[in-house]
Amino acid sequence: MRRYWRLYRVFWRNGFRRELEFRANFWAKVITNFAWLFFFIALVEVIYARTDAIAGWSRNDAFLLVATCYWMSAIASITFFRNLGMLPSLIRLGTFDFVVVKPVSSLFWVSFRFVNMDEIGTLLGSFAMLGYAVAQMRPLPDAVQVVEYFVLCFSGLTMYYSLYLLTMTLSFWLVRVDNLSALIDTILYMARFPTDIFRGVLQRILTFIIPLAFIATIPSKAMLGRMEWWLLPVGVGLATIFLVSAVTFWRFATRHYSSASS
Amino acid sequence: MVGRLQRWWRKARAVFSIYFQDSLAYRAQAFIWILTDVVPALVMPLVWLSAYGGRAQIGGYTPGDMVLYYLCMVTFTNFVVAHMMWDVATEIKEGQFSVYLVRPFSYFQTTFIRNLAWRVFRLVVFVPMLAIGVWIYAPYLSDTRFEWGLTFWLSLVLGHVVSFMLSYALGLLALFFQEVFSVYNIYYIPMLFLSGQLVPISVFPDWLQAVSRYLPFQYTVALPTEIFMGRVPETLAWQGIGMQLAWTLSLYFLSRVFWRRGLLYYTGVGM
Repeated sequence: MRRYWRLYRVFWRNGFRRELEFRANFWAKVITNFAWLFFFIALVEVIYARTDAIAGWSRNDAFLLVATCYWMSAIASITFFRNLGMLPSLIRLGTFDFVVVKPVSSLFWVSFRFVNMDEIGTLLGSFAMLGYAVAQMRPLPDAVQVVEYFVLCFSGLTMYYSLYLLTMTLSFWLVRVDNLSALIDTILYMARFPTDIFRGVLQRILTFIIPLAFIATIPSKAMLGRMEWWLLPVGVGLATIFLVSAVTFWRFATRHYSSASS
Repeated sequence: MVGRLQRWWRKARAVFSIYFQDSLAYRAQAFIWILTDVVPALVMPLVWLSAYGGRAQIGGYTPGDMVLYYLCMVTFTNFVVAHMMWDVATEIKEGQFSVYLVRPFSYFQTTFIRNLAWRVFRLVVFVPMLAIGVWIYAPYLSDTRFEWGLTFWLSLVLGHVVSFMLSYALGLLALFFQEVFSVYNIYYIPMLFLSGQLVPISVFPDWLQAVSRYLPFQYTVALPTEIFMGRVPETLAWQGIGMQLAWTLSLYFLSRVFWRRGLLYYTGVGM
């Protein structure tokens, strides 16, 4: 475990150095990502100029939701998103061979090798937005709500990672599909809307099967003090189940990996 | 003259069929790209339906109109909205662009037909998804009187052309600059907003609608969609078509300039 921690610190240093090498490019990416945050804020503003609630979510609630979704996806792309996204090409080109022979867990390497700093602006921006939305709340959230929020966000991130890993692992078989990550991007895009807009069966599917609700809606509800208490253990439980099944599937897939090049 | 036209037509058909087969070869990928457009567009009606809260209309749209808007818009998007700049820029950066320079069929025409082939392919793949969309939203669809006369077809075809010209001109920027991908990424923000792909133009505040009239984006998808839904009076429809023509011509000349200037910069990586 200590070894992995040390290794991960090296990955971070490495990431910083890489960005310093192409500084203009780095700032261009930071600004672009930041602009997309404004894109979504503008969308929220356009909709709320015409109404004062969407499925019971006020404008300020929506800001909380969007901020939550954005900081979580910023963390995801700083740590694992880009890395797992490269998996299909690693497999297609046969370079996955070099990963397998390294003296570390190949899952660790494939998930966290490159630290991608260009979402740092989005992360800070969305945290500022979160702070703004929370400061506007009346009454302010108590400590329990804040703790529940972060626990559920962490579970949400774990589910997101697991879901993404499950999908990308499919590329061991679907060698020609190199945009599987766009599929997961779409899921995250939907997570920016409160899942209360879905009804009936669809809502249940999006809560328990594709755990869209847990990515942003349920944590935000916890912060707002509007969540049923039992969703907390369910969230943590689901995150564990998803993670275990994703890792199991990964193990199964790598056992059947038969290199592309040799 | 007839002979030349016949020869051109043979070449054009060959290019079309090559790229159509190319799309077929990558059908799983194509399916995912289409989903990334379709899913958000099919979710937006749910957002709006939850936003009415008893109001009869938002931006002149009743709940039924709103659902219908998104179904029509997403259908036309498949045919209209071009993303060719990514391919053009990649080809320029990696040097495959050189090959086209010596072919007896211009790069402009090749790219145009390639985009057309891909758009037609997408439309075909999209049909079952549209059926699902209509099935889900069936309870909201009552008033379905469509306007599909000459103005609609003209605006649809010209919407395709305007969107293509935009993406082609943007693609040629790669002849001048190394880092164009960030520019493209930013381009999507006004493009998505003002083309009507995100929300109907008429829910915007008035100042933004006014600005939008002078930009090319709403003349891609929004115009044919609104004409199809019978929301645009005849004279305004013709005015819109005039704007489409104006944008097509100006973007065409712009891309000619980019082409002539840009080729001087082009180094042909990999030769």
